[in-house]
Amino acid sequence: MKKAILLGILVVVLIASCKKKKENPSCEAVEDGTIKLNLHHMVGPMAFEFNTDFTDDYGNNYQFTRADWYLRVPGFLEHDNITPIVSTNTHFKIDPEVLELTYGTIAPTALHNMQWGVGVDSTANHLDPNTYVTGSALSNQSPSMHWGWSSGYIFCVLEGLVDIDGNGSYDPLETFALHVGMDSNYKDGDNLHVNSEVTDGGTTTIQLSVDYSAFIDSVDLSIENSTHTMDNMPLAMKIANNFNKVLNLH
Amino acid sequence: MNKLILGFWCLFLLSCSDGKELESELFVINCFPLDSIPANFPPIDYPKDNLPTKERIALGKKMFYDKNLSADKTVSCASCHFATRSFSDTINVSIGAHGREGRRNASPLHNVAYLPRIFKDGGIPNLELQIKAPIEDHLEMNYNMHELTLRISKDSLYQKWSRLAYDRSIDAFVITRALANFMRTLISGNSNYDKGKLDTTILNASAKRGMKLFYGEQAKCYSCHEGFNFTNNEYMNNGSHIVYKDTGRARITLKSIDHGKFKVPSLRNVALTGPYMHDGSYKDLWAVLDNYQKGGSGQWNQHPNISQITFSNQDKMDLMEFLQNLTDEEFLNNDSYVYSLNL
Repeated sequence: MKKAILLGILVVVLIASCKKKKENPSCEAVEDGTIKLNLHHMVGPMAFEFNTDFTDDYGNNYQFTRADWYLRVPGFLEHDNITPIVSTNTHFKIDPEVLELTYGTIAPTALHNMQWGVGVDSTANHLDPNTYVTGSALSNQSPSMHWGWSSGYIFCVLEGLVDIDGNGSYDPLETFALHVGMDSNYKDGDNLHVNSEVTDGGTTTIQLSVDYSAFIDSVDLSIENSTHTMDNMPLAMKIANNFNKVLNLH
Repeated sequence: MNKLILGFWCLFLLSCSDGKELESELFVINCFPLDSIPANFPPIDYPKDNLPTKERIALGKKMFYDKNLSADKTVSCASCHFATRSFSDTINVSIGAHGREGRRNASPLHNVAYLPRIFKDGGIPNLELQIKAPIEDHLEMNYNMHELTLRISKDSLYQKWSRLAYDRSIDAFVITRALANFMRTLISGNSNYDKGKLDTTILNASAKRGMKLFYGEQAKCYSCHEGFNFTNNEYMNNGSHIVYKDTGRARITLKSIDHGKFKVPSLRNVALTGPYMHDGSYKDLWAVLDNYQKGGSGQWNQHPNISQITFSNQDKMDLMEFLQNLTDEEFLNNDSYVYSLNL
């Protein structure tokens, strides 16, 4: 009788362990794979650089001195753009020094469409940054990426110099400061067709390009050079409407 | 006499060495029981992650008076929120780090534990989140929460107190929770008006006439300044200005219907919280009463409650007498709110 019970337990344990690995007939251990995102920071066709001249759509020369923003990756979807493969809502705080991000680990599978957006979703946007572990994307940043007076994150901070009078130099008052936030300015981008494979214990790296000139597409920096959102909502909305052009497959 | 002796003991203990500092603070707090919320006040709804303890309050008080919270180490919370002014400032807009002028008149902090939202425009939902705003505002402390954490992490005393209060190293969580914890102890509810409910001889005849006006249909002050804290906690345009450079609540909601609306302030200790209005542009209570007497500025979004009031000079003096009796001397002179160490 005892032997029968023991045998029964053994069978149950065996079935349970194989159930998890049903796609693997040999029932060998399968390790999760890691999804990484590699970022290539660009300004149009050129590599991003601070304190380097670029030209906006209206012929104004400008330089970036700060370019921080939030990337949100809600998850990955099947070909149908509906069925989730993985849905770990993740925010990343990006600046041009950030070259690699780790989204997370999942069981081996094919990845098809990557969901993404610029900003912080309306739920996370109103949570307390002081409760996050130091170093996490939504914790307090230096320089700050959060508005204390309205309790919300700044989705993108673009600051720099602009040659407003076109005299070939950046005079002291020739600056731009584009700070965009508020729930209504969070924008999802079109899903990216990544078509990658997460392999057993491997690392899948998705190459992405960030175009900082896309943030200011159709923005005339000589006159549209300041928003802290509430004080210049039209300009903030204009920039937010450009968010979906910022990230592409590299 | 007993209070004097107790006060000397507090001072003596506060002058002790670092190792005794927390014990001294706790002693001072013990001098004034913090669970003595006035009977007519509702219970405080404490956040679950920040229940009050004496250690937390002591830590918050130390921070409240610490100029290290500002970028250039020139201003603390207490630099703009004076205890003897019900934790408000005496000037139109306060002077922050680097000598910069602020945007709005500093609000008094009494009874902030009861506010459903924080700031004159209600932009912040709770005290814990509010702490970050003045620390990072470039016109106030002009610092950064992350940098502040790094700065005060080096202070062994803060680390020790943080562990005692929150069982963790000092960080943004501890800073915001401790300060909020201290601020929730700023309870004011023992004015002559309050005492007069039990002893009808405390308010003089003029104050009683003023109270009748306050709660009467002629002035209808009560229609906005209601309840135990003399505020309905609503956002209203009181017609104090014709042009509002500061759009008030609309800054948060972006709705024109909220243009020029600001939170109805509590009137407790109001005689000491001037200058008045969101920008401090009304230098005294007479100016405020004059505005209500004439029915406000007639600004397009002015609340309909604000309409011309027929006041005699005696009426105004009586009303003023009543408002003077909303002053809570024990609160203003409560040693447990004062941090006397030289930080």
